[in-house]
Amino acid sequence: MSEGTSKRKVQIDERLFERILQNDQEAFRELYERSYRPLYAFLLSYTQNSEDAQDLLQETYVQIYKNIHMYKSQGNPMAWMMKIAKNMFLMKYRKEKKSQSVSYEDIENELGFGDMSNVENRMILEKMFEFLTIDERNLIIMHDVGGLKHREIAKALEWPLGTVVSRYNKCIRKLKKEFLERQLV
Amino acid sequence: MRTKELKKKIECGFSELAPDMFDAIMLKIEQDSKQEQTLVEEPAQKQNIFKIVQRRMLPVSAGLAMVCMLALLIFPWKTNEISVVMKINPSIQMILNTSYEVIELKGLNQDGKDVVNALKWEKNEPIDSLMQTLLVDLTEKSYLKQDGKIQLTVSSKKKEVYYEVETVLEKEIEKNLTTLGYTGVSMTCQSTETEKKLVTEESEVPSETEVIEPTVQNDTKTIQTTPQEQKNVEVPKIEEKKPEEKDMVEIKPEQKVLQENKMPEETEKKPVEEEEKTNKDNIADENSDEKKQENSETSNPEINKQESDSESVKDDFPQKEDNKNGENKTKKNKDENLKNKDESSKEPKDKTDVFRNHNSDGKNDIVPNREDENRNKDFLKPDGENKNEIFNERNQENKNRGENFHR
Repeated sequence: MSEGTSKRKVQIDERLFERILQNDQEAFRELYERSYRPLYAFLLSYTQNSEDAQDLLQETYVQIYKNIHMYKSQGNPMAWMMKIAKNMFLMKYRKEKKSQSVSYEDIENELGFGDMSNVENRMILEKMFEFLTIDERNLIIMHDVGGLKHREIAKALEWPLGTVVSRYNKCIRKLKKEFLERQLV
Repeated sequence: MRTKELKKKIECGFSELAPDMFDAIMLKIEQDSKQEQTLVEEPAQKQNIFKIVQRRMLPVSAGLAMVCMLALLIFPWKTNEISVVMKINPSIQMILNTSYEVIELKGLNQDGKDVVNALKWEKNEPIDSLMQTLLVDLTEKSYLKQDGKIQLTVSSKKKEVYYEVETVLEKEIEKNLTTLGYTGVSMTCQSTETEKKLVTEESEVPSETEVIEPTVQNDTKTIQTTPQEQKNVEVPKIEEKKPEEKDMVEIKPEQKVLQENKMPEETEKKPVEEEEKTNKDNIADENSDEKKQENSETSNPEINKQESDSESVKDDFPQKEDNKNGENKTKKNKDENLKNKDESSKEPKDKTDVFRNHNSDGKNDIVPNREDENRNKDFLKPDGENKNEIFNERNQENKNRGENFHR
């Protein structure tokens, strides 16, 4: 188990939750440092707006802090945190009733990619948001940024494992193809 | 490009984009926790205050409710109000306050309602002025006619108030009727049950043989006794009638004919006895008439005794005993009768005096004697001549006996 956890990109020790329950602010900071990047990516994928993603990220961590006593060891704490983030997004967009079918040109400026220094990284993210759907983006983010395994993703999204794997591979291939075409151009 | 490189670039790209917001998150958590504390404390305080108020207010409100209930029980509603009901044909109720000002005016029947609706009056208007306008209105609408009747019913808790209101209304109505030119209108005044009780208690009958005229009439006023008072006077009369009625029932004419056919001797005896009874009743009536004459003519009891003795001896021996009893009663009550007669002979200054005299009527009054007379007449009718002959024979025998006794 310890070997499995060491291979993960995001390693979150469950003891942190016990420390946070005892009002240990350092433990909460450590949890934040390990989890805020995948959570932000996850929320940006949903919202397609950097400001909304930042607001939701803030609210998500507030909720995590408040409801830390409700956490039960389910393997990877990242899955629980992403579930909270998704619920926060759904709550916000139920109220605002924002339409999700928007063209990339409309959301290009809102994503906040202009501040990125690495051009290749920026290009890959732009292709992600341009050619992939929300679910496809979330598959890649959950697996490659969040460090969740296909099995954990299947459990979280309530999809079959095969569809999760096949969709993931298809998304990667599609993204690679688009990126290579762009590089050639 | 390998997939691993692609994955790394994606990871690096999102790590570049993601802002460090830990301080902002912690500030928000603190703010939220403070707000929650305030939100939790405020309802708790409110709940506490509500509980305290409830705890203190419940007994206070219960106490107030009890006091209100007791007050309602002790001091009944509208205690000081006086109600006057005037019945001509439209019956109208006037509710007065203690200073005889009309608070409410109601029509008790349809005509009354019409009159009240059409009448222009003001609240707290004095009774005399309202009565004037009301009588004028009633005469204009021809409700009040010559030789008509006005019945007034006054109800009040206080006895004095009743008499005052009655006198005020009488005077006012008389004035108004004379000014309007109505002379033959008769007016009757009544009191309610509360007043009746007070009046009857005051005027309880001291003796049973007081004789007072049943009704006293003035020129235009007749004062009627209340139903309860009439009952008080009438009840003993009915009790007295009962045994006589039984006797009458026993001897029906048809039965008599049958009895005469079967047993002539017994039938002869029975009518004689009954005749004797009728004679007794007649003598009692005569005595009652004699009492009046005695009171008016002579005040010597001895002369009356002699006269009564002589008359009784002429009639029959058993009649003597009755006469003696009657004499004893008359002796006892002669003085009282004289007083009452003097009072009755005078015209009553106030109706209240007359009212009391009515209540103090003796229970053995004129009314049963009249009925006895009628009965005797009825009794004498069927047998006719035979009974008269027997009666005359008996009288002669009695006279002979009386002469022998004197000798």
